[in-house]
Amino acid sequence: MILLTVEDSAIVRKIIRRTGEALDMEVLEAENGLQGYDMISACEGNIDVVLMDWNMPGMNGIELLKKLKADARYRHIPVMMVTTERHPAQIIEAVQAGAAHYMMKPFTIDELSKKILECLGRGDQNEFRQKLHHE
Amino acid sequence: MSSDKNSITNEQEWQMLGQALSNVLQTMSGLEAEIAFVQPADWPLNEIEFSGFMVMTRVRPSVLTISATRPAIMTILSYMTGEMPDELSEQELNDGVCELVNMVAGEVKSRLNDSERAYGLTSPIAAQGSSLRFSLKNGLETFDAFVTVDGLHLKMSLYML
Repeated sequence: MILLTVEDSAIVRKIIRRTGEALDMEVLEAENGLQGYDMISACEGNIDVVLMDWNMPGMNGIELLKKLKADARYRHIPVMMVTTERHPAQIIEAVQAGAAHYMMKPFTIDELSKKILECLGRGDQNEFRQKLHHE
Repeated sequence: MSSDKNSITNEQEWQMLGQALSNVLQTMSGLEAEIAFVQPADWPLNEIEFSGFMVMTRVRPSVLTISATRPAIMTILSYMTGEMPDELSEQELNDGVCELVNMVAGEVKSRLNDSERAYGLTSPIAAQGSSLRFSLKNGLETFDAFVTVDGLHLKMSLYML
């Protein structure tokens, strides 16, 4: 299983790497949306989950999400936003753009692990959409 | 706290930032923060070495800073990442203090979204050095918090421009 983290903070990338490796995943890292898109292209879409920040230099996370979901080669890849942005309008924008999950910083390793597994279909992902529906 | 979001004062916003810092440290590292709003006599201000800044953009902008001694930021990031403190690079220490200020400012931003104090955020900026001092024009408000985490020291400041 391959996890790609697209995140401009080296520390957050390191936390995600540690979490992914603890879940027996191979972890790839990109520092911004453009680099992330290049890595996804280089892997020909063979990535199991992408975790991406919202605010990054160059191409930001929401732009990359929309680009992936508009491309038939990559739209199957589940994407989770991992960001400090938490305004309901932004969460809705991300979900409407096709985000499988939305994680707000700060987070615990347990929360992160659980949501990665949910993105992979190994948890109760419906819980997230049900919560959104109720809000 | 007032229920009228539009009546939030500088002091109330500052309290929110203090709570957010405690929450970020607790959630990301599991460490408990003790926050004093008056500088304790033995607080080692001259040992501060890593600082992260963000500008809170709005009609009256503010600058939020979090600064830390080297042992403090190494310990916090070690707990956050699971790496030994001496395995963290200088770049990661600078990046880490920026990420702390980003998370604190981001958490409060969401609470003020619908108020007249709503703000946007710039990218964080890191500064490294032990003699960093800010000097503001007379009449501009500054708030300082002296934070102790596991016996180590951070300082958070808010400059109302």
